[in-house]
Amino acid sequence: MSQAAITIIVLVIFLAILLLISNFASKENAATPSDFFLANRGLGTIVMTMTTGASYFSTWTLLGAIGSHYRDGVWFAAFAAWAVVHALFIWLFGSRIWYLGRKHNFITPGDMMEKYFKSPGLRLLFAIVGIVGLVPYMLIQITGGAFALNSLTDNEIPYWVGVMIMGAFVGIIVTLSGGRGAAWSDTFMGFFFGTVLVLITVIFVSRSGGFEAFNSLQATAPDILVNKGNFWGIAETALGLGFGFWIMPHMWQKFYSAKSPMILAKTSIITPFWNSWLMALSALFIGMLAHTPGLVPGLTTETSDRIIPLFFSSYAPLFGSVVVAAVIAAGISTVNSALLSSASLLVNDLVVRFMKKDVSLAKTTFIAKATVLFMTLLIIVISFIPAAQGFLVPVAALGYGIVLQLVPAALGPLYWQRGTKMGAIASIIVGEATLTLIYLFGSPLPLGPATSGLFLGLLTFVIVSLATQDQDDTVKSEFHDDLKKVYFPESIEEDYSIEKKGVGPVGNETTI
Amino acid sequence: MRKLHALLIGLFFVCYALTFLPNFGIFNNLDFVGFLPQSLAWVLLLNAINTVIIFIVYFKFFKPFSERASKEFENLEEGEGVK
Repeated sequence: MSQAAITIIVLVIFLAILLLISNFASKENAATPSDFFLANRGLGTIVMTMTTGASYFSTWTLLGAIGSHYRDGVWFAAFAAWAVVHALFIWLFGSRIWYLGRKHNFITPGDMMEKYFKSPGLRLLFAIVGIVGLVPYMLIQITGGAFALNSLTDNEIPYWVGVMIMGAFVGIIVTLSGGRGAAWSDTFMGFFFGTVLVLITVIFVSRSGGFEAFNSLQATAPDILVNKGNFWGIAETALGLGFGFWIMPHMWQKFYSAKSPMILAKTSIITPFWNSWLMALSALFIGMLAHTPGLVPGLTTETSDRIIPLFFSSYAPLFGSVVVAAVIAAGISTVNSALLSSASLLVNDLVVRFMKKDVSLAKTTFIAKATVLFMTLLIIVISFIPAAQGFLVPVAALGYGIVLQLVPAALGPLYWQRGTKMGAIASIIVGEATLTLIYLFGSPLPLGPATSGLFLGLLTFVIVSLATQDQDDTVKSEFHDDLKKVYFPESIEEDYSIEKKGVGPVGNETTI
Repeated sequence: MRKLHALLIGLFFVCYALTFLPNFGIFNNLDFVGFLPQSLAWVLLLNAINTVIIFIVYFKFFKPFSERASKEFENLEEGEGVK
């Protein structure tokens, strides 16, 4: 039996399992946006941990990060470091997003922005930037999976067929299942690709000389054992992929979906082990050890994003099919959340908010499903553009970089009460304009487009906020008073006692 | 409590910032610490410290916050109902 036939059989079995899970999950579905997009805010610890991890990690991890480690060696170890930061971000940002989301029944990030700043324009900006930023991210899941299929089967499954297979998988699963099905299948897929990744790491380490594996590379690839410098290069990726863990709309909405804050708390202590010690380090070991002579036949820099399929196509084609299914699992588990999120932004923040306010809940869910199918089709079309088929990490970083420019404005409701509507709008415009200009024309400074945009956006947010004043601060005060009360109740008492002593009212401009 | 919180968060980000020292040539020799290249061993050491900080934050702040927030919503549901 040919490799292509074996691979297709494995994929069909895999799809059947996913459909079973999605079908089972969808039995509990109610026709409400909160249920369809946020699994009715009912995710438990295991599902929450797996769905946040699986939605973040994708083909860029199983293929792209491994390729980056092959090309850049320990320089890309920054990935393992920023993956630990994710755990702290769950506390610093995720818990606040959950709290405010639960309190005010928010479904999208735009819901929070409009209510807090009293600005429909900010809702619109968050929705548009979110959707645009998700496109490159969804794209690499499709292209990465298609390339993996192509490499494993030695071109028997052409790229275009791979794209169609990925598109069909994703479209069917997401349309059927909604947020709950996505979270449940993420859990299955997360365990699946996590286990496969550990297995591959063990195979690579043992085939490269065990504990002597890195030592042996001194003779063949000494360059990858030292950091090549280029701080601003890695800072650009680290900022996007680090902050992306909470600012990307599909991740933000994961925080809304948690059943209770304790679920998030438990997720935060599992995250360093899952995100960094397991996922990031496995990618590091596999990528760097791929330099071991003869380990991955036919490997070149150009094909370095396909190390795993290349390896298995030479040694164990049958297991290779399972591995490619794992790569596809990683892609689907990300793209399903991203698709759901972009559908919710389009439906909730654009259609329902600005066009059809009186639309029924069932109709809203129907429009969301139609949007998922439309977005899947759009991604499939874009994946045939040659520019969309580059290295996976840079394309992913572009998507993250676009959404990164929302960070300053998001700091308003989460931390900085002095931030104003004008400051928030200006920061997004300046951030995105800077990113676009530097991306197209370059910059005399070493900072990358996303980093430059974020710095200038932050500066704009602070300056414009200090220079302007919002007319009505009631909602803002309510948000920050609530946060202060629940995060640091003892500080309320301290403020009260200071006030009583006659020092005057204590400002609550930040809730750190 | 807020000071301890700020201190822990500050320490965490200092450790994270220090993971970039090899980018500036510090802890970046072609030497080995055990079976790991020096710069990688440095990053992993700091990651280990930050993992410990995550646990401290969990017990000192995240868990108590979760209990307070859960109680608040329980009270709301029992009373006037969640908005």
